[in-house]
Amino acid sequence: MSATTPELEPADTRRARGATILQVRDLAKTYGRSFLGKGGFRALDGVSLEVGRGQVFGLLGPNGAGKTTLIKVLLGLVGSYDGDARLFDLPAGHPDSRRRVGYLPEAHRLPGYLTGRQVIRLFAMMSGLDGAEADRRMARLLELVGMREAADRKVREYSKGMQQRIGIAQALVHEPELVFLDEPTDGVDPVGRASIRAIVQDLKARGVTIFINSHLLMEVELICDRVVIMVQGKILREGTIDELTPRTGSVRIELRAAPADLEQLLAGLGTGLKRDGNVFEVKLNDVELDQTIDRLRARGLGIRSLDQRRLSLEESFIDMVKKVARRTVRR
Amino acid sequence: MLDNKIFRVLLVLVCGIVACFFLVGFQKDELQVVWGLWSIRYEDVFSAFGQRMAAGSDLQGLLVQRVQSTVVETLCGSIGMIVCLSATAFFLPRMLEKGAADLVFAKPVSRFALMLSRYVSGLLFVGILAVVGTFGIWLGLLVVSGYNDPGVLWGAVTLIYLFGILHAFSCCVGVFTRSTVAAILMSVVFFMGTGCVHSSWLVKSFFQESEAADAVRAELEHSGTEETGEVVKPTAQESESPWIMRMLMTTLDSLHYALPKTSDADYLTKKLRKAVEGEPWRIVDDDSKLSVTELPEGFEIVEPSGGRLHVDASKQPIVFVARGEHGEAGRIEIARKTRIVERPDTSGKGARTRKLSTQMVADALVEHAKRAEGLVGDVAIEKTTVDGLYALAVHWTAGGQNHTVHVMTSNDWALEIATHFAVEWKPTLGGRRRGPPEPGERGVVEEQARLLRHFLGGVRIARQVDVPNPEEWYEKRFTWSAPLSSNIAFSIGSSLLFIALMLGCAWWKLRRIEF
Repeated sequence: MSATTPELEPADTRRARGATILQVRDLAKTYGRSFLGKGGFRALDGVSLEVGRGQVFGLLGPNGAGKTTLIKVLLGLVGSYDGDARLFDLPAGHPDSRRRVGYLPEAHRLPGYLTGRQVIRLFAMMSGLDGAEADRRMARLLELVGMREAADRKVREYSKGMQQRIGIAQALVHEPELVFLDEPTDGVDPVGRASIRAIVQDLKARGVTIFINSHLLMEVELICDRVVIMVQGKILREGTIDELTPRTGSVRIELRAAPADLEQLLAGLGTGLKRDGNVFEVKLNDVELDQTIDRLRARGLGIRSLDQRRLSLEESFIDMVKKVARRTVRR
Repeated sequence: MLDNKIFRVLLVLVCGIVACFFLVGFQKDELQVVWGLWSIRYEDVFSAFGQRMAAGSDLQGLLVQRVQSTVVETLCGSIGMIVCLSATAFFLPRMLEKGAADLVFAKPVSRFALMLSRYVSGLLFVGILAVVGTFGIWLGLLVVSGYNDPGVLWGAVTLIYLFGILHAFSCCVGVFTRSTVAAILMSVVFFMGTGCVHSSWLVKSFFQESEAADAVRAELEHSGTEETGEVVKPTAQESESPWIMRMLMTTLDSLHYALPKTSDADYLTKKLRKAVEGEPWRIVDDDSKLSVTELPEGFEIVEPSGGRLHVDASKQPIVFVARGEHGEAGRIEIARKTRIVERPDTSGKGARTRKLSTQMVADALVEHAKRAEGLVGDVAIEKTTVDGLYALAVHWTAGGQNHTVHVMTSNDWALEIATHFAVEWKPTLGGRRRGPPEPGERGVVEEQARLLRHFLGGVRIARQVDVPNPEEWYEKRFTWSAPLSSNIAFSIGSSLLFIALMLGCAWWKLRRIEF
């Protein structure tokens, strides 16, 4: 799978980055509501969100949080909701907005009796391209998703990962401005995941907005600019990766050669010192950090690296979800 | 669609059926299998099915039409429809399955267009099979058998029309249930159900009308007026039937009007075929339904004159004349006479009537022949059949002519087919030259007898004139100007409306589905 495709034209790099292309205000969706408007399962509960052009936006949440429902509302696959949802300043589900959107659904099922090439051609034509234009884009797209060799085999003969790649290709064939990827790395091997990450980075470089819904938080952490964490149909947190992964207060320092009396050297500075060979970790505030560096340098010890420890996105996510669960149980 | 495995299997099956028409030739007198490798005479084919055909019948045409009708109407129109319904019922439900629906419905194509595309795909599916089938059969018959019947091509149109109705229902069920199995089962039940409703309605209406006609006829006979056939009122019996029966009949009527007319597809095919082929030439005596389907060779029509094809043979006999070198050489007359005669009043209760039997009519004719001037030899009488109807043939020679009169009775009528051939006249049957017989050639008497047999082979006599079967009764009523219950425009219009309604319901539901 090749990540760089210099020939592939960007959707519209000239458009100003940062302009809002996706806007959601107090969005609420209840499934299975009775005729009298009572009962049912509230999948979205007052969601408000804005996504700017060119962003890679991550949507996180436990199962049943409402992530897929949010995407489906925006694509017009789910109707009769409360609140306002707009894409490209058009009502959600409007054909003109759908024309500018690419979508890779979770657990999608491509027509097994068609070849990969035929699938891409079919969906290209459904997206408004003519056959000739679809064929023109085909070779580059197959190269991009690494399916050139297998393009003429029937989809039913493909592995899960290959079907996922063709799924991505069909989502990109009409050069959309906004791409929804629902579990894009599902069933893909590590090499394939790296390639998909590269494709996303490439699309981002071209100004394409990407909306990723994934359970693989490592992927999200590596790819996304902004992340929304949803729980029980509500947005729990929204922010950049840095904002969502707070510092733990611990500093990890690697020395060229650690002295035997390190604990005595740093006595009175910070708490919870842990040592592992030449590496040690200790909780320090900013003043204590300066003093620590001064003492190490005064002893003539060389510092190889110094990291401010943060919570991983996964740790942060689990922490937030657990807090909500505890609150719910208490209620 | 061509990638669809079921479609390919069905296409192979259809091609197999078509191939049979290239391997089996329907020749003039016999069936030739694999271009003459085996030959089977038509008489043997028909007798294998327990049928005896009249001499001179167009056996080739008869067999070809029966085979065509079996293949197109029975095989394709019934079994084929169910197979095609099963093969196409998954089109919509599969599109609506999770995973497939998300991909398709997220595209900037309206749900109506997507639904319609699936409906049209189904029509194309069956359309291709129907066109390949009917065109192949027509071509096979034309090339191998030399039998050109373009009317069979209309079978494709009516098959698509019929499938259009059923497929619309299948699509509607498919959208509501999102289940292929439900769509197949309900469509098959619907197909059979509409068939049952229309068959029941047909039988009910046929008998109701027959009863009403009988009542009117009896009333007219009683009052001594002539039957006009226009007044058909419900009988007193009907209005006195139990309420549950009346309710059932009303329900049946309502269903007949409301449901699409799937059974009418066969009648539409027949009408279209007739429109293409034109009505076959035949002279018909309207009251007895006796018809002459072939002009005897070498004869011209004297009566009916002016190109008329419908006659009243009780007033003016049908007359064909053959001209010889010395004037009229042969004459064929077909006449109809009443066989109801008054009995002599012996009891003093007034005049009573009775029907003459065929034997009585023939005996009277024999007596008449015996008194003929210049009678040569005896008057002979023999038992025979004309179009399967019992007949007595009376032969005698008088006045330089060979006379043969075939006498039959049907309902209230005595039918007479009389031939008068000059004794020396030799018919030119089969386009042979005139002149003295060559060695081995048939003589005058044999040729005259052969002409007569051939002519009688083309005579048709409808039995049970007043009681045709319900299908024939409906086929005759099924016209553009008939009342709504059997009106072609209403049948097509209501079926198209049903298609629109089904697709409308499916669209309504599809718009509300949340994937």
